[in-house]
Amino acid sequence: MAAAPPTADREDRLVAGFAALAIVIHVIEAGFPSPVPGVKPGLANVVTLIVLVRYSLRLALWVALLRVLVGSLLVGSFLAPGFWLSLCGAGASLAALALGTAWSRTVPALRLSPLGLSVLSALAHMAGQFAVAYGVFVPHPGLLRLLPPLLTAALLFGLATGGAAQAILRHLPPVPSDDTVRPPTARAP
Amino acid sequence: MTRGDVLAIGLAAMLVGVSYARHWKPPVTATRFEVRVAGQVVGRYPLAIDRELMIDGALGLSKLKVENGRVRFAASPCRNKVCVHSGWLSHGGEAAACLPNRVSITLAGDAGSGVDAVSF
Repeated sequence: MAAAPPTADREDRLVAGFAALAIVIHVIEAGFPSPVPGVKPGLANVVTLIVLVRYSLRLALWVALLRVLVGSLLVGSFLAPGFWLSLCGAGASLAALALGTAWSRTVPALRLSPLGLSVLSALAHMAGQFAVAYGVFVPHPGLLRLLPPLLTAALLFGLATGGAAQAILRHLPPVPSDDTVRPPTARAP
Repeated sequence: MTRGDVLAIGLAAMLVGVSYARHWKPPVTATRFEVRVAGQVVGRYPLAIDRELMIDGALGLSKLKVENGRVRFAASPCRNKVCVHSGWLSHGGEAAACLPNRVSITLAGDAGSGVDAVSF
């Protein structure tokens, strides 16, 4: 759009680049076998976290939702139960990230680093997923017995992805502030 | 790691702890078991009484042993002894069978059987 501010274009490229990165991680991760349904490291969330910390919640939202949508199309689970679980998990995790960033802004003394944000979003992701699984797909009380180990896995993987995001953020150059500098992921023609 | 992180991770760990306290149950302990021969129920027995049972199957007698709330195939006239190798059973929903002798046992608890599998 001609009337759009010049940054909109750059934002689109950022979203596209980071979403592509997240989708690749999502698809690779989908190929790994999992001992328990619903347990996976959620490495794609590293990308969401990095975008959130370096850019904005809005961009992180786009990256996460595009990842879920395109990831499900590539894996072949679009509109299947797994897709709804993934979508609701992503929705809950983004809500947790939004709350977390709002919290950091209002209470700077107790602000959250990517590590804390990651743990919150991982638990929210699992809780959201589980709520749909239990409420919609398998409303069997036996499923509740899976909750503790699932939440434990979410806590551990949340710490792991948060640590990974922090380590990567330390090595990234400062966010370019002008429009002429493009992110590395959007440099390809 | 910020102080906020410590708080968030602490809360998260607490939530996980609460989920264990509220939802973690050991597998349902069975209280009785059912014996079938050729698919027909031939008897239901409590696990509380220690004893040995001889069940007449297609090949001969299968010996069941009940002890300490558990049950197992102790001896069987079959060749592979898969039933005997199943070992002690004590949880609701567990089962062992001797297909050649057509004898099977299924355990049940008061709370019903547990989940066999969850897939999504």
